[in-house]
Amino acid sequence: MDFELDGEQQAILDSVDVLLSLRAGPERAIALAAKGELDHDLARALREAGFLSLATEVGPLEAALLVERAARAAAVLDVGARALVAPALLREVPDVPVALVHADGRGPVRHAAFAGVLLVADGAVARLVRVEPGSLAPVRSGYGDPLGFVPEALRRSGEALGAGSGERLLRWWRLALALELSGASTAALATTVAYLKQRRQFGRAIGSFQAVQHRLARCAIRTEASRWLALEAAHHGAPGERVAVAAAHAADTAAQVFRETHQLSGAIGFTREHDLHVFSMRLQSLRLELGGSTAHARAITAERWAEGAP
Amino acid sequence: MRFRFSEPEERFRREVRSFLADHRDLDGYFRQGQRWPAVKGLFQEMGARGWLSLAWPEEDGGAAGSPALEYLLWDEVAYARAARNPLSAGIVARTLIRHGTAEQKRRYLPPIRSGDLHFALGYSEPEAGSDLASLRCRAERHGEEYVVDGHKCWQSYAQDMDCLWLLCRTGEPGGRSEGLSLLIVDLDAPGVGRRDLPILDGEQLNEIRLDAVRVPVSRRVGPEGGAWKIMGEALADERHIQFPPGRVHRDVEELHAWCRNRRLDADAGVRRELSALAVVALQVEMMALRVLDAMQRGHDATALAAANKVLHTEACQRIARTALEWEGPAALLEDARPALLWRQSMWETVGGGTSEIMRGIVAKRALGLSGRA
Amino acid sequence: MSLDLAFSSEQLAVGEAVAGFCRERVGGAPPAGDCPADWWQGLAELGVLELASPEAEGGALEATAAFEELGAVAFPGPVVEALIGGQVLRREERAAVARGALRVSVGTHDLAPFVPGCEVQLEVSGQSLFRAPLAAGFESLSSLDAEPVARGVRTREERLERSRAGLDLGRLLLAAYLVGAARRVVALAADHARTRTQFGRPIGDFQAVAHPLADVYIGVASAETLTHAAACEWDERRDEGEGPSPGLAAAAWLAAREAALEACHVAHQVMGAQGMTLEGPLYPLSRRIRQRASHAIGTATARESMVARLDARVGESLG
Repeated sequence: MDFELDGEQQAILDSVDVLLSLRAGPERAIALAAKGELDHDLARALREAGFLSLATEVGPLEAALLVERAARAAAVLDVGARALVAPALLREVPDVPVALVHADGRGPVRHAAFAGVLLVADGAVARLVRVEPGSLAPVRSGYGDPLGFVPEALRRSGEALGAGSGERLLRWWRLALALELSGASTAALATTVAYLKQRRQFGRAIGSFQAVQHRLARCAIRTEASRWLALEAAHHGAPGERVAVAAAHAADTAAQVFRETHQLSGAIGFTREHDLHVFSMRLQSLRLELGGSTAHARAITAERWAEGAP
Repeated sequence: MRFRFSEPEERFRREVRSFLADHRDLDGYFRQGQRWPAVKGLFQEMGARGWLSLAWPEEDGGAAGSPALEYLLWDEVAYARAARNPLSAGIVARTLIRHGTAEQKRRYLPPIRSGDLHFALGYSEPEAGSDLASLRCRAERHGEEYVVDGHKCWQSYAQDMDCLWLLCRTGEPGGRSEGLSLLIVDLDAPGVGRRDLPILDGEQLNEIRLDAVRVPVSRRVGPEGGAWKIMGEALADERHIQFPPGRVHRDVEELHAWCRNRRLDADAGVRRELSALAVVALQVEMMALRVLDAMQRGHDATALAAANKVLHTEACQRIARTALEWEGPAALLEDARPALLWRQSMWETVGGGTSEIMRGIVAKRALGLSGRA
Repeated sequence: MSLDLAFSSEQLAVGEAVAGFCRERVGGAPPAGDCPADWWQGLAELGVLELASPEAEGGALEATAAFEELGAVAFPGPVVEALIGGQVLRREERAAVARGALRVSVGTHDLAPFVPGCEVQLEVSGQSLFRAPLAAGFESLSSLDAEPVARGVRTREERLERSRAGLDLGRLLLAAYLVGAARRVVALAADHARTRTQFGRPIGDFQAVAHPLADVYIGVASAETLTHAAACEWDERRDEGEGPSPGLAAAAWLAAREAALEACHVAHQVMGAQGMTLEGPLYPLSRRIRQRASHAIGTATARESMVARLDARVGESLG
């Protein structure tokens, strides 16, 4: 067992962090959200640096590290879909935005309005649907990522990607979600801790109250666990049970982190001037995606105790 | 022991219900800011019926009614999602009735009673949210005027209000709760600046800056430096109409109807949570009745009211969260009811005294625990 | 007459008489196991065992006042079951129950609590009570708080009339008992938090201790009022001759269970090792709360009746 990054991984992560610190962050996320835009500049920079092809050229764990860091930096981009999920299904990584769609889903889809490629989970198979970027109807979103509607007909069309591809898509999608949730939870918590260290009440920093510390500590423990569960699943190539455990844990953690960070930040956390909402609102949409924690939990049961399973 | 209202009280409730039938689509409980002209119209109609001054003394133009009538009124209004009880007819009027001068009563009570004059609360500051005793906004006395300088924030609906019910420091800086006074400030007075901050539920909060605002001494309510006690009294008068359980019942009923429409209610997990929420809603109602009962007996309801706020607001959040979890991404659309309930209920455990402050009050008053550290 | 949430003086008197009796007999530490015979006789003499029956003057509210006090000392034995018997048994059996001469067991399809030791053995199934004695040769077991339990095969002899009324009364008396016990648990933990010092101050000074206690206080207080509302409803319906319907009693039972279990959880956390001693004061209470919260009446029917109540309300209010 080894929880340390090796030299190459550390080097990748360092340069990812540098790039993200220059080109992403809450301020940029707020500006992009106001316009309902996707961060095309960031996409270009990540591609030019070779980070969007980490999964095929280095490995899924490295791509997973990128996805988690991008979520921490509030990147308004389909990093999870493009850098982690698509490479698991397609021979070539598309250089257009990728949206992940469930054939039976009724709700809005992240990034759909900008997508050039839809990967549709339709029962046993996944389908590849090419669309003209910008052709799908955008949906007003208060959750950081731009949303769009994918019409029923489109969700049933496209080229089937072969046996087992449906299940493969769901596994990597769950993994991407777990990573994004864990990254956004980490950032929401960090934003809150920084604020509570300086905010005073009854003559002392709010962060010095034991009860507040306990609540933050509980969040930190769960957030750390989410990250390790997700990275471990990535390391093993996204096996069904591990990704379902990681996603279920990350979704439940997100719910808790959302409640506690907002409750402890007070009124300022509800304004769009404070950074918390950049991460917290994203947590809210991510934790509901793909059926939310109930569906992830059912996937665990199905993987572990399904008829015929070992 | 009796868990029913009297026949005249029930008759009044029916009257309120049929009045509200014409205001079903108002939705001012959640969106007062976006619905203000209509909400104000509702208040004016209520004022014309004498409902904004139900429990005021007769000599001040009220009906000297029981707290139970006020409870029933605002519970029905909340159930109808029409509005929240206005600050003006509540703590402002009650404070003026107890402590106002004859001139203040003459000037303010009639337009408050008719629903024409409205107030924003000017308590919180950037460094004094739930901890009001540390506030800094300062009123210097110069002859017959105060000159007020300060920075207030987290006000609600100030963009639509006429006056600010301002808590400020007339005594020494750092004097905690001593040295605080209440002033009535016109929101369009020179030197009053307002900035609106959009918040996550689609409404907005306000930030108000007071820059050398001149306020006549005759607009001070109660004695100089005596605001703390007065505020406590006014709060105590209002406990039975804050957080009406009708809102929570309505939330649960909407959730349930929504589950049925989507045929989710056959799912065992959904049924279990629905039953739990139905129980919680009843617990919320019981706590509200306890507050009312204590007030009718003249007992101190501080701890009960704090308990009621925690129970009520956390129930709202649990209901909203449940809806989101069952609905998934479709619930995130801005026009989806679950999304509104969720965004709105997030605020409830923070605004008007956080859950932490409320738990502290319960711990101290009901259990004798200081909870300071 | 408007709202009035206080017990009447008669109801208070019942509660005080029971509290006095408990102080005298039970003292500080409630015992594990079944009820000693002389305590049972004492309850009969106080009139507790016939409350809410057709012969009794006192109804569900008087019974609630009494059962809160019984809960506060974790009073042993099948007391809730005696009052259920007062609803569903034949007149001469009811008289024997009231005298303390006949004891009633209410159990599940194969478990009969307090047997041997109960002449009448009832089985609960959904909203029905059956007279269903165990066949000879049952197995004698012991429960978490050392109460006798028998496991065996039942023979259903009859479904009892007024099953619903009996079960509703049972739910609300279990709620009253749990509320009484939970109030005591919260008081013990708060007392401990006020007096036990750590880092030079009472542990109740820490919000991390005070806030969870405030939460359980709120839960118990609201469950208490809900129980009173259920008792009022039960009495009104009895007086009006409508017969109880599932409603508030189910809600009270569900709320009181949750509140009492949570109170135990928090109190044990606050009291640490002191909460774990067999002599008490906390452990004997929490053990019995766990036991009563697992009563054969169960929660499934109560939960379904809450959903049914919502169905009715939605039909009514939103058309």
